Amino acid sequence: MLSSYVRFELRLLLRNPEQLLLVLAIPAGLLVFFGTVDVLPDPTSLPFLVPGVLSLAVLSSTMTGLGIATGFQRSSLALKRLGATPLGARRLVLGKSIATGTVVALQLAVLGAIGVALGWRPAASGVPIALLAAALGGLACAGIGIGIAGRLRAEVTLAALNALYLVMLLASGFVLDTVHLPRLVAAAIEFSPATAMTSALRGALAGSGVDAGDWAVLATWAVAAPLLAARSFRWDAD
Amino acid sequence: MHAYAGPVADDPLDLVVSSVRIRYGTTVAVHDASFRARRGEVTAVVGPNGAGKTSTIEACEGFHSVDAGAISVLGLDPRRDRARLAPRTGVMLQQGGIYPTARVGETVRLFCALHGSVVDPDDLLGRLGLAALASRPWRRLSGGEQQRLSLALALAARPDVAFLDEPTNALDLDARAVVRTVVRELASSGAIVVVATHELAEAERFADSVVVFDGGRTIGQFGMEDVRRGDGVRVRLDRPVDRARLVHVVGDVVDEGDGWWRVPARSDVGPVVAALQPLAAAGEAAILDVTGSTGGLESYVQRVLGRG
Repeated sequence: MLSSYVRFELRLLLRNPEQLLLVLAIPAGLLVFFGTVDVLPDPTSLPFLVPGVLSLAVLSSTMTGLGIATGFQRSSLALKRLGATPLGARRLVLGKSIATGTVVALQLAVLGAIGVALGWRPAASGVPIALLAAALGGLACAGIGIGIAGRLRAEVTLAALNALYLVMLLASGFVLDTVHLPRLVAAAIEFSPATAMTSALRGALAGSGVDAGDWAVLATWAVAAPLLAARSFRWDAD
Repeated sequence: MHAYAGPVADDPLDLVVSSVRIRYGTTVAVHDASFRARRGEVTAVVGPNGAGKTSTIEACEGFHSVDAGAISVLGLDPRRDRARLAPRTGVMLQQGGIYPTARVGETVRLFCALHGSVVDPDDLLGRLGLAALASRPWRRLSGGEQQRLSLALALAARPDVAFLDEPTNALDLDARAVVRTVVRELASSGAIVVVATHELAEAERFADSVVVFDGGRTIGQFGMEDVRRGDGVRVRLDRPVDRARLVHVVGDVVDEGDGWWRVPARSDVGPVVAALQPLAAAGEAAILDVTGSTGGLESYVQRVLGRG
């Protein structure tokens, strides 16, 4: 049942090339811009920048893209009809996350290739660890996106997820180091899945390993966010 | 409230709605709803917009909990036992409900897979005249084609209980005939079929009983045989006649005054006139006027709602 649903969702995702291009174009543009134009202070080097952009791509597709799409699917009653089938909210959240994660994997491959073309040389041994961190981060962000979409009106979901995206873009160390943030904000943001994912990707791809705290934050969010999203999910429109 | 007895005994696996109240926040959508939808029958649910039909049906589907009263579907609680009921339930929504870019064929195949049913998707597409549209996305379908796809998704479960919301809305005559056939076949297979509709002429053709909602309450549930018979034949006699004498010749009658008598059990004037011939021949009474039944679901519902 789950595999049928994942294949269905994946086909629909791949059938929407404009959306795919958009979620790829923004991080790719950031990568090329900051990788070639020297506008940011150190440590804006490729080992810092590329994992940050990879993390941003995961966040864009899973939390923002998936969350907003889910909100509008719910408002059009597309999900209500699925709610009357044996699929259930847990499989819905998991199925959407897996389908989106598959597309994200392709995005990461393209972005990684752009990074290598710009001169980035990741530690090969860290790639599987980075993929695991991206998977946990993606599951966590998908849980947050669907969690918001499953409770709020589509228009409110759109605004809320874009606002959250902006906050995370600026504060989660994708392209700006969190050491520049006020101490209280930096401490709070350490517990966000986006920050932990960015930190884990940097550590893994630099070959220096991942901090245990980052694994703990990622694992907690990856389990809790999808479960809470499924538990609180409303199938019909408000 | 008028209750419908039906031709067969009550079954614990029927759908039973008992004194249900449904509230959304401070708004009471349904004050008091009760009816029974039997296995093997089509139960039409009718009434004005905002009467509480959809809220009650959605509670039966497990989408909402009830504030008071109880609902039993196939002996299960639709909310608590939703996971057990879902594989056996077919739902046709009135509007929307498919991803705009999803294609007809893949959507039907998905729903068959989700229900783990033995229904062949291609067979289902063929039955509802959708085979030629299998690769067309939902957003490019006409209103009638969307309706037929919605019905196909409800049938993908090979359901034991089906909730169909306005199944003939926006359909042309041929498609209506197909839907009527499908709905009757579903009931014949032993399923409970609940159809919410405003199209009373259609409901009259495929339903076994009708539940009338108004103002958040069920006014009653009526057998379609009674509905089709209407309120009987009216006949006006030229002089007073003993009621017992009339009952003897035409069966039960109601004295409506001014020489008018109503024969509730008859719908055709012919047999009534024929039955009264001996009275005329004997010089006991002659027929001054006679009117046939004002049958039909629409006039029946109007009378039930006190608007006829």
